[in-house]
Amino acid sequence: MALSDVVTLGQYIPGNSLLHRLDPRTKFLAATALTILLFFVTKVTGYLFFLVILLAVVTASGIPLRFLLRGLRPILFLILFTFIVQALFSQEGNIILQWGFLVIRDEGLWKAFFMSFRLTLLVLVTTLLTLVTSPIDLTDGLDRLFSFLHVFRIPVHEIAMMMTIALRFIPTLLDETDTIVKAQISRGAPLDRGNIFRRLRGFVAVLIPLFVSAFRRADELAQAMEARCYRGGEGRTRMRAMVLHWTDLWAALSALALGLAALAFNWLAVP
Amino acid sequence: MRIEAEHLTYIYGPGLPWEKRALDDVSLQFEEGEFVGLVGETGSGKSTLVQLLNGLLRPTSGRVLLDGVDLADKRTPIWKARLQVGLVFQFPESQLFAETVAEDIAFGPRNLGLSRQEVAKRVEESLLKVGLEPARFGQRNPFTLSGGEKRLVAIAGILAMCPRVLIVDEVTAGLDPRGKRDILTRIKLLHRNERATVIMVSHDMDEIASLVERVVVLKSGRICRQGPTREVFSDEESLAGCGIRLPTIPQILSSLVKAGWRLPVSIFEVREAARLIAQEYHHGPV
Amino acid sequence: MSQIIPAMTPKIVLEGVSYCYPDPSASPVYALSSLTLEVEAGDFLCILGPNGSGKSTLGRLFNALLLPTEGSVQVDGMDTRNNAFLWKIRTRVGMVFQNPDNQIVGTIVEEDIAFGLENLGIPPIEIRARVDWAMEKVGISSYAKHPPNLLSGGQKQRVAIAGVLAMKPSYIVLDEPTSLLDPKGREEVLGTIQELHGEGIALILITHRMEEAMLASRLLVLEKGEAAFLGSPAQLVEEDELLRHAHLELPPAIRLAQLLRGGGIPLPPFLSRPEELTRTLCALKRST
Repeated sequence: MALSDVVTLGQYIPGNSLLHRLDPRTKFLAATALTILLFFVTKVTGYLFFLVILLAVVTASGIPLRFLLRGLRPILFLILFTFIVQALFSQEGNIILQWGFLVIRDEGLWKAFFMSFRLTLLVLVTTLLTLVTSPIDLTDGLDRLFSFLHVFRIPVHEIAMMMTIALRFIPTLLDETDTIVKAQISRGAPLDRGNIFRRLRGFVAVLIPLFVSAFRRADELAQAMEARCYRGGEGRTRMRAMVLHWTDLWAALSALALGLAALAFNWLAVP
Repeated sequence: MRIEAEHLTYIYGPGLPWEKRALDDVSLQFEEGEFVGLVGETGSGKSTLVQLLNGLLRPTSGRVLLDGVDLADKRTPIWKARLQVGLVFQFPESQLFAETVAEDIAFGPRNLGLSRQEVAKRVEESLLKVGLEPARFGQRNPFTLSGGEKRLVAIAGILAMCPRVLIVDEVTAGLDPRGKRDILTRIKLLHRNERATVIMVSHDMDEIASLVERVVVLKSGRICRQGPTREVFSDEESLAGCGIRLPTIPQILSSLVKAGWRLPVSIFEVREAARLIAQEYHHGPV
Repeated sequence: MSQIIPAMTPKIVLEGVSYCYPDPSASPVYALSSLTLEVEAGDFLCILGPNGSGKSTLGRLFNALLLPTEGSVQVDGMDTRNNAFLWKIRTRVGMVFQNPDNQIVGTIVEEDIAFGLENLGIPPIEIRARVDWAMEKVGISSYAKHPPNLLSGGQKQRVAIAGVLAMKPSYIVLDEPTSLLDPKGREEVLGTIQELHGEGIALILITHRMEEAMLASRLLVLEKGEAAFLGSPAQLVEEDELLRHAHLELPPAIRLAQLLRGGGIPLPPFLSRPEELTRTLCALKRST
């Protein structure tokens, strides 16, 4: 199996839901607003409200829940770590468990629970964003959203172009890696056997050709871009007009309203 | 070495939405010392087949026997078994990595754990086999060589493993006419002088016709035709059904035959074809 | 600097062009020396020669990717050394490279075809129209939304051609566009470029495949940076000596035709396609 089949880039799942069709800028801003608001939520009701809203949005997007949960896998350790640290080192509340110098208090346990829950929600929101927005749309949206930073000499267009090229070439380079690995294994390269030092020597035989080829590609691509009149972002137009629709406005407003509602729930709640 | 492939099937991404049956119940043999051409359209399963033959891929079902020993046999480690079948990938120069030609070719023998003297001997021998003078090329940086020379060095890197079968995949792709001729001459000599079994994968039917003894044609993961070169390249229609064209000269002869000329079709030599056509032109019926 | 384009002379003119790669360590090596050449509107010039003969260097001089060390290159009267003309020249002279993978910038086919037009600052509506037109022309409209890495080599190369075509060039330089393709891809690409030539776009095809060279109206053979031959395919076929030391091999059909003529069959002096050869042979035989 080719490497590029295993590594799926971004996690975009094509679809045609309202969420898919929204302008990437709207989605990005809404996700950012929600994650910021999340930091002000401190009570269980607020979190629950947030969770219900998130689940409703996921249902509307038509994305299977398991894809969303898969996004949690890489940071599971971090969530667990946060939980343990909070649970063990909190100094408030009544002791509910004591084992040698390890003390667990009720306040601490709550805090640990909230912290890890907040982290989980945060990751779920960003995962959802990448699930319903293609990487290229996201790059494009960010390019346009932050193009004003150009004034502060931040090369927004160049960064976006670099991201686009990376997205374009990752599958190509994965295929190439696959071939080089196979070619070196055919020369008996100890890539899949022996101790770590032997394996490392094998990896050199893969990495050097890969770098050589990547540099050659970069050089050729630069020439091809120049031949097609590329000269940076100045005076450049785009074929795809990104037009904000009424739905974008409604989506942005409802995201804001829901976030505020979560805050309101937070304060209204019984302790 | 004799290679037997029995009911080889290979499926990419089984159970996934993009599942693809690249090879479908293929059985065939390659005899000791044979020179075989493996042809077929892009995506017909040629690359999958050759990777199965040297154990880089494990068949979904079926098995590969090298001199009667199953490649999946646990008694010899797979990495050793597969070194008996040397596979030269497409654009093999992209695997060069060492600072000198000699170092690069030594990579394979060193992986086999051979002694210093044995490694040096193999480097020298394989450079000679591809027609590069060891004294002249050994200490050069491979990245400064011409395209054709780089490819010869890459082939030498495989030969240094002393494989008993050599598989070359599109070995002349992207080279200029001179580089092409050099490589093909070397492969022909390897087959003749070393009695090596050679399997050549190529899209160029003129190249195939001028070199190999037997042709295997794949289409959509199955064997579409196989047999002695002259036999396979004698029938335009059935080859076209496999997505393959006749070599240029047989193509011309075949159209003349269709127009009523009495000529054999599978002649690959230009002079021979010219002689027969002239004969028929001057003396044949109108 | 003069922004005005000089009097309209629709051709590319190379005058005494030499090119030397800057190499600080060694004495300068000339990749091209004193080359004089004209490519007229609607021309089909093929540049032949072994690797290292200066073919690709020459190709990059046509659109100011490289500037001559000596001599001058003028595109429709615009000197490539004049920076003010740079983007106009590159719009007029499009370029297709050898490796289809390394010239596609966009992550979706149509986005890539739009790339050049976006660089020129053309309004979005017109870009859309031109992209659709170019895709239609080279027959890739059905993969407009595909990511390029899922396409075959021939399809990718046609995407690259469409990207150049959308800029409405007068000349297209093709640097070994088929050398990495399979026979099917090669046929697709050759078909496409012949169509473009039929519509009046001048082609400069760099190749080392003689079969392809025979499609051109004029051939330039380069040897160690110097013009060893400039003339028609029919003339080149007769140059045995030159063919031998430039390591050029005649396609089998042409060699067969030559041998037959030597064997007393009155074939016309130049037949490049196998179909032509069989048709002529049959006609001759009927008339004997």
